[in-house]
Amino acid sequence: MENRKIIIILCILIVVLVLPNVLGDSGTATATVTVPGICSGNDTSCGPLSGPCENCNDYDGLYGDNFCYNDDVYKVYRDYYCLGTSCTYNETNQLQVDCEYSCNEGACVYYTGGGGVAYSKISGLDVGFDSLTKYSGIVIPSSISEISQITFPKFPVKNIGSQDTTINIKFMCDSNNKTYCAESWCSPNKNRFELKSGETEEVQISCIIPMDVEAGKTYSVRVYVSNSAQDSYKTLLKIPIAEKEVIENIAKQQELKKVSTNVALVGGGVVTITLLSFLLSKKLAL
Amino acid sequence: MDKQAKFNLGIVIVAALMMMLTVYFVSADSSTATATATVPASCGISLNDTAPDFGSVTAGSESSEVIIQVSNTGSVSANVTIEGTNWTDGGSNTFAVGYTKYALTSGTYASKTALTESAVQHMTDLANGDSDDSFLQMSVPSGQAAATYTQTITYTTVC
Repeated sequence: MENRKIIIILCILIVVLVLPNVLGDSGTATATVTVPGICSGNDTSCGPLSGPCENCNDYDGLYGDNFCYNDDVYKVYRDYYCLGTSCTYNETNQLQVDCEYSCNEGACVYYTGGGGVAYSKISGLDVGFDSLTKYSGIVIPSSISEISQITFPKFPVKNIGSQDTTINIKFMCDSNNKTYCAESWCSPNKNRFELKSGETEEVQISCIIPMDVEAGKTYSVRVYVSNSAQDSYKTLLKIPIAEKEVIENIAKQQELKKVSTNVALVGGGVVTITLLSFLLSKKLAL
Repeated sequence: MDKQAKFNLGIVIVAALMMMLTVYFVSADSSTATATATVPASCGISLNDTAPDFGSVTAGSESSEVIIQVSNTGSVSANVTIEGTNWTDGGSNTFAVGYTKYALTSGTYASKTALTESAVQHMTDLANGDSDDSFLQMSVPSGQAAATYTQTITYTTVC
């Protein structure tokens, strides 16, 4: 009887002590966190998530060489943006020079006409100089105040005259209606060149600023075009002459023996014309 | 059969029944059908949020608190344990479970207890039908690779 009680107690203990501890229920939660990268993935912060990041906009700009499109000068503009984790770009053609006449090998062609239409066609040279100085980065001085040499950018000249026409082109630098090429300037085969119909020549002008420039006057660069029918010119550039340096220039001109005007024919050799100054320095005068 | 033999037989039968009961109940420990079918007292738990989101946390910084409400849906009061897994992005990037911390009250990250991979008692005597808040907060180790990480947190009632 006693054993029965023990067995019953054991059974109760099993139920009371063991059973509850094996019962249970669980609930799970799946937590999420996003660890962002250092680079945000936009144009200003582009790169792998762990970096380094770069600003794609830093790469925006003009690329490559000038090229002709629709008879104007263009250059490729790249607009960089972030794609995924790296910078890439869209390319567009950006107008660099709106050529007045046409374009050849990435530069405006400034026609000079033969056959009696030289003057009207030569107006394109004005645009040519403006464009070349604007886009080539060459700064034309706003005034001339000392003896110096100015070398202008290269630019092409083309004879678009009718067949079998030939024109002569020459350049000169002058001031106050005084030309400094004097006789040499006009010498055949010197600072002039000949273009047959359809021919193109690149030219580059380099002028010495003379000693006797007068304050308040202008220093000009002109191009002359002539053919059998006409002889006309166009002023390419006028630069004012400053007042204050004139006296110094007079002093300097005592040492000046000669001035030079150079016309370089790119690809066709360089023609240098040395001109004896028609100006007499005080020293020479004495 | 004499009296003593009958008694011994009775002892054997009771012992056998006891063993059967024991075996029966032990086997019920690991069976999901056992408790509800045979035991009047039931343990139950529910979470009000099974997909807590700590949002975007930069490496080397702490998240804000996330609160999970734990409810005892059983028929008796229960203790509640908590455990978790390591954080993983599903690939090779992981960080330790202990970067998640828990507490019964709101507080700083430092004041909370680090989660472990083994179950640790979190709530005591949560009455049946009652709920309690579990305050979770985590941090991301410095230099941790950018990715979306997940971690499984398990709450278990023991009753």
